[in-house]
Amino acid sequence: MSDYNNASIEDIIEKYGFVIHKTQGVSMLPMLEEGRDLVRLVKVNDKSKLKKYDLPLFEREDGALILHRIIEVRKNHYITCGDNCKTYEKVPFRKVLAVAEGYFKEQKYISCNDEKYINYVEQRCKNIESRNIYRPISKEQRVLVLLFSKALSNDSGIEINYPIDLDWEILYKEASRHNIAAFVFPYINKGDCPEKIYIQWKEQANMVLRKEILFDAERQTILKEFESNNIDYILLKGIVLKNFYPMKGVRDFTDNDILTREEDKEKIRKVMEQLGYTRVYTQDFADCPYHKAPIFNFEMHMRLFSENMDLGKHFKNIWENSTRVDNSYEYKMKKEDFYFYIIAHFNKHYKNGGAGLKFFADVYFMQKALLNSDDFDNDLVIIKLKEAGLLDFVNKCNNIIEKLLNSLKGKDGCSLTDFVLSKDCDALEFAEIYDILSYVLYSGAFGSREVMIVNQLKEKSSFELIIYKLFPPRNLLACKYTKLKKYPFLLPFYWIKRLFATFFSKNKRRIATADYKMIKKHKTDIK
Amino acid sequence: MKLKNVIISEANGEYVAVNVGGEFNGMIKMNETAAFIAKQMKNDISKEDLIKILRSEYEISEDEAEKSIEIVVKQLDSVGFIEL
Repeated sequence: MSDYNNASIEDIIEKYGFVIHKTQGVSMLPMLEEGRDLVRLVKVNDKSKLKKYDLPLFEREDGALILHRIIEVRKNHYITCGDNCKTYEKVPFRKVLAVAEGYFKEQKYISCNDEKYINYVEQRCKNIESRNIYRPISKEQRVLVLLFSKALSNDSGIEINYPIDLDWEILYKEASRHNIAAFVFPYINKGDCPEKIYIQWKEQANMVLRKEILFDAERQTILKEFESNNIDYILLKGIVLKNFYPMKGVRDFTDNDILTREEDKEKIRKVMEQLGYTRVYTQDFADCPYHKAPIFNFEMHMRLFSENMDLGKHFKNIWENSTRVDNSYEYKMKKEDFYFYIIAHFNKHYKNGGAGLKFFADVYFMQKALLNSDDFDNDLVIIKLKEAGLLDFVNKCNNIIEKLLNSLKGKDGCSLTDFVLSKDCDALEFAEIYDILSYVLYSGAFGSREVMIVNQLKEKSSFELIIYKLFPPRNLLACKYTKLKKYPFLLPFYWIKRLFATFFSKNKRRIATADYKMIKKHKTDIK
Repeated sequence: MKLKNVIISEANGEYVAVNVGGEFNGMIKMNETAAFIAKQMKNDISKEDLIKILRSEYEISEDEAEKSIEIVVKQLDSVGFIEL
């Protein structure tokens, strides 16, 4: 809290009965966003009578004014914790100055007695040790979400009132980090964007289109060779998804993913080498990426998901369940299988290192194309999603997509205040949307190692995680050292081999050190 | 006149030409007629033959055909898409 000192706050409340004040910092996210939300504070008659989950304003020893939630009431003090913190703090009764009665989210007032608010608090405080810690959503990220929503709804008529202090360079970088620069570019007016950034953005969009054209041509050449060498294949992910988008050259992708049979591995290698490709090293023996300069990446998969993953069993008979296209060697997954696979793939990224905005566009356009087709068995998909524990995830995705689309509906002009998060949400819904959006916005297109470590720390203590990383379980190591599948007793040997390899490789050492630092940084800090 | 290893593709209502390999990393956007001319140049073709083919496709005079071809060839040449 700023501008007031403790005396003046108490004085104002004494005089008027309440004070409405802006907040600072990120410790009360997702409830209170800095510079946007206001809190209504009222007088506390008996400073020792506040209850668990009340939100007092108190003064620290150094004079700082803090608004954090009561987690426990003790004899002479409260234990408090910010909604976006994992650190507890002792607050003597006498240090309490006021208590929050409610807050303003944009123009909407939410009382602390509101039922949905109470639900939000209970959920947020259920398990403080494993709660998500949020980073604030920047104005550039908010604008990116608006542009993304415009591109999703394919509505270029809606004007965005860009904030005056918007940093277009950061906005462009954020769009690139989410691989959606080309997707949102058609919805930027030349006059709104600084010329230098506009040219850079346009070049990037052209590059994505150029890349798609080159990929298409190159893929044709490769698949022609597959046909003459009797190699079965199923096209996956981006190669198929891009066709669901309303425009060509807007879905950025770096790899061409193709499912092939394990027994064709050698034949594929010969074909790819003849076409000038080199095999790229990978930890997983079931993925064979090939690269050819300048931009050609083709990833030949031998399976859709690792056998170690529960999802693997759902796709075990993918070849038998797919249909051969005419007399070619191409197989096509059933629509339901493809849908299920894309959702499962998205969820895998989301759970591990995080996933960016692009995935929502994939899901949206895929659903638009598939769900409305007559022969799509929606019930079957729901059963499959349910079995795999993904139904809740899909529903959450669709809720976000709906919010994004609705945020623009019926608006003459679109400003930051129209941002999806301010749309008539109650406290609980707001927190749920914020939870996903801030995670997605922070993750970037394919997530990050840091997000992965934060997620791993939700299931393991920092000590357990370090041990896990030093001595991974057999099924994980067997992906790289295939002999382990047959000879499990070799596990200690491969642990040592791996540790030596890490020690003598500069790159692996760098990754291991970075991991260790991130574990230290994000380990749960409970006092 | 012959094009180098260049792909001409339709995208979002217009045509684009991109080269495979080579130094130029951009692309040329073109209209339908220009794309038609460029496509004829995938195999070596003389200017005279190209004029004939263009006139059989579009109802234009010889002068107009020649001018159109010159413009397209100049554009393609400026980014190194034409074999010397």
